[in-house]
Amino acid sequence: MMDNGKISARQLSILIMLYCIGSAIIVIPSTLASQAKQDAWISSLLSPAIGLLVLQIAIRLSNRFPGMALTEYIEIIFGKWVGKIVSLWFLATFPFMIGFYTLRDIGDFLTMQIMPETPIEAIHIVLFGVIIVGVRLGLEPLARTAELLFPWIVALFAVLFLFIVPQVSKTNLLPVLENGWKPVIRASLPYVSFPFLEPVIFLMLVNHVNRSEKVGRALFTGLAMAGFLMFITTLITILLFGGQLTSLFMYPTYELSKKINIGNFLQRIEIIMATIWFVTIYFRLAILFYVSVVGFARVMKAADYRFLTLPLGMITIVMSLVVYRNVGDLTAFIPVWASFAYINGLLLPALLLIVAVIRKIKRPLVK
Amino acid sequence: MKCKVVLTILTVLLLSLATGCWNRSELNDLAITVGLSIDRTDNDRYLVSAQIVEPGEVAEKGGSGRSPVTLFNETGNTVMEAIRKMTTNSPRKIYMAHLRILVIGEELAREGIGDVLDFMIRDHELRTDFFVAIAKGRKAKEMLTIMTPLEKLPAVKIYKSMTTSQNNWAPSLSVTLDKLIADLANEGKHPVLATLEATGDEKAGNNKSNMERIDVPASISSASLAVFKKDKLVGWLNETESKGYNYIINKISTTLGFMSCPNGGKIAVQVVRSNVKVKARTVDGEPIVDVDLRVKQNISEVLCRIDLTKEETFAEIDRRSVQKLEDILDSAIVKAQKQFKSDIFGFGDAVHRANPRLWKKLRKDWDRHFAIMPVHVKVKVQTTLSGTINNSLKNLIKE
Repeated sequence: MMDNGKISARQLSILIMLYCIGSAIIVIPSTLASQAKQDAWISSLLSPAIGLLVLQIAIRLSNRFPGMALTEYIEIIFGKWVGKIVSLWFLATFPFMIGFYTLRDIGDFLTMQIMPETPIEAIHIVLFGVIIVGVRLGLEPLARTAELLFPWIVALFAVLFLFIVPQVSKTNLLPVLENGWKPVIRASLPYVSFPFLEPVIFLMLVNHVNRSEKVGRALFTGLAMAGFLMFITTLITILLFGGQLTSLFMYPTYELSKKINIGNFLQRIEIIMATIWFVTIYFRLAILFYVSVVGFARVMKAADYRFLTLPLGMITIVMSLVVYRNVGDLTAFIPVWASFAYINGLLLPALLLIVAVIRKIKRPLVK
Repeated sequence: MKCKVVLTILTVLLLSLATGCWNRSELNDLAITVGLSIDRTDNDRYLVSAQIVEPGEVAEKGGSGRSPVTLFNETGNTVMEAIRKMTTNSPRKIYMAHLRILVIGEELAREGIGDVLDFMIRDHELRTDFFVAIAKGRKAKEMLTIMTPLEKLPAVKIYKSMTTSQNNWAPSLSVTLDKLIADLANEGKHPVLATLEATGDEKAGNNKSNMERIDVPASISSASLAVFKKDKLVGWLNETESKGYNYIINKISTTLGFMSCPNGGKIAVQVVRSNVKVKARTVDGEPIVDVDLRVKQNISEVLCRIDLTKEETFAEIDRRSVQKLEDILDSAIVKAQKQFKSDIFGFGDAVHRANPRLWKKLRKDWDRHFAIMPVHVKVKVQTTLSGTINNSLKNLIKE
C-alpha cells in the first residue's frame, strides 16, 4: 500500500523550510565568506532570490499537474520508458545522493566538535535508524512532528540571535563591495546549488497536500523563510567574526553559539543551540529518504514502499562512509556537485515545463 | 498479553542503548587545566606546562593543606604532542575546556606565535574565551608557579585581575584568543597582547607559604603591553603608551589620570566615559587618519589650591586634560610609527574601510606607509562633577 497520508499547505511550508536550513546552516557562512569575505551577507540574499526564481518553474509544473508526483508526469511527458529512465536518474543522483552527503555532514560535525572518540559509524547507524522509522510511518506523522517542533526551532533561532547581538560590531561589514559584485556572485553560486536548487524534490511530495491550489504559495513562503533565517545567521556571523575569521572556521555557526555569554552566567550553551540543526538535519534526511524510497517504488510499480527502506537505508549508511575520504576530497567535489544540482534542479524541470507547454500536456482530466 | 511482555522486554533492552555517550569523561578522570604556558627550548622543541586544579583543595570544605593547583611540564615537537605526553606523568587526561590563560614565553613570541596558536584554535576542546599573555623577560612557565592571594587558583587570579584592571585602569588590556586570531588575519592591524611580570622572590612564590604572609613575597602583575608585527613580538609599550593605545582602540571604560594644577600641585581625574572615532581620509592620494577622542571625567583627587566653585577652573582643567591626553595618544602613535613600524591601531583597517581602492595599492607594504602617515589627534574633554565635596580639603587647612 502506498502512502495515502495528507498534509496541509502549512505543514508543507514548514517541511521545506526545515529541509533547506538542514545541514547548510552550519557551514554556509564559511563557504560564502571564503569568496565574498565581509560581503557574504549580500551573497546570502542573492542565492535565495535565485532559488525563489527557479522555484517558479517547479510551481508552474506542479500547477499543470495538480495532485500528481514528479515521476508520474515525467512518464507522461517523456513517454513511459524514457520517463522511467529519467526518473531513476533523477532519484538516484538527486534525493538519494544528497542523502549520503547530508548524513556524512552531521556525522563529521559530531565526531569533530562534540564526540571525537565515538566511531562515526555508530552515529550514522543510530541517526539513520530513527529516520528509517520515521519514513516507514509515512509523510503525515513526519509533517505533524515538523509542525510540533517548528516553534522550538524559531525560538532557538531567536535566542541565538538575541544573545549574540550585544557582541557584534558593525565595522566588520565594511568596506561594502570592495571588490565589486564579482566575488559576491561567485560565492552565491555554490550556495544556490546547495540547497536552493533542491526544492524540485518537493514536487514528489506535493501530491499529498490536501488543497493543491495552495502548493505554490506554501513552497514560496517556506523557501523564503529558510532564506531569511540563513541570511540573518550569515549576517550575525560576519558581524561577530568578520569575513576573514568566518572563512577560517569549519562550522562558524557553532562557533557563534559558543560565543554566547550573558553576564558570565548564561554561557557554554552551544549544545542546546545545536538542537536547531539536529532537528533540521533530521527532517532534511527524512524527506530525502522518503522521496527516494517512494519514488523508486513508484517507478517500479511496487505496491508498497516500506520494503525498500531497510536495503536502501543500509546503502545510504555505507555510501555516506565511503563517499569521500577526507575534507580535501569533499572540497574538490563541490564544483562537481554543482553540475548535478544544476542538471536536476534547474535543467530537468525547465525541460519538463518547456516540453509540456509546447506539446500542451496537462493533467488528464480525472474520471 | 504476550505481545505486551515482548514489548516491555524490548523497551528495556533498547533503553540500555540510550545510556550516556561513548565519549563520556567522568569528572574524576579529567585534569582540569586552568593555565597553560608554552616556551621554546634550546633544541627547537616546545616546553608546555599545564596548571591543573586539585579538586579536593578548591572545595568549600576540607582540603588537606596541599597546593590547590599542580603543574605538569613536558617537552614535545609540537604543542599537542607535549600535552598528550603529560599523561605519562598525570593520572588524569588533560582537559582544556576551562582554560583561563595561555602564557607564551618571550623567546617564543619573538620567533612567532602563529605556529602554537594553530592548535589552540583547531582543537575542539578549547574555547576561544581565554586570555593570551606574554611573559616578559622570563620563561612563561614561571608565571604559572606563583601562588596568589584572594583566588585559590593562580590562573584564575591572573584572569580576574586582568579583567578587573581592563575595566578600571587605562594601560591594561586583555585579549582573548579569538580577538588575537582576528587581528592576525587582519592585514590592516597588528596584534597587541598583555604581558605578565613576576615581581619579588620567585622561589618563595612557588610555595604555599607565599600565602601565609600579609605582604606576599612574590606576586604577578600585568603592567605593559607587548607589540607584535604579524605574529612576531617586536617590543613593549610602557605605561603611558599603553594608555594611549587603549584610548585609540576604544578599550577604556573607566580610568584615572592626573595633571598638574596651574599653581603647582596635582589633580587627579576619573574618566567615566571615553569614546573614540578613528576615521581615514585621502588627501592627494595619501591616507590621513583622524583620531577623534571624547572624554567625560569627574574630579577625584585635588592636591592643590584651586577654586572648584568657579566655572573657569573647570575650563582650565578641561584645557589641561586635553593637552595631557593629546600627549599620551601621541606618545603611543610615535612609538608605533617610529620605533616598531607596526600598525597596532588598525589604521590600515580604517583606510581599508574608507577607501578600498587606495588600500589595494598600499596593502603590500602598508607598514612603510603607516610609519610616515600623518595622524591628527583631536581630543575633547568635559569635566562635570567634583566628587562629594567641592573645594579641596587643603583650602580649609589654615596656613
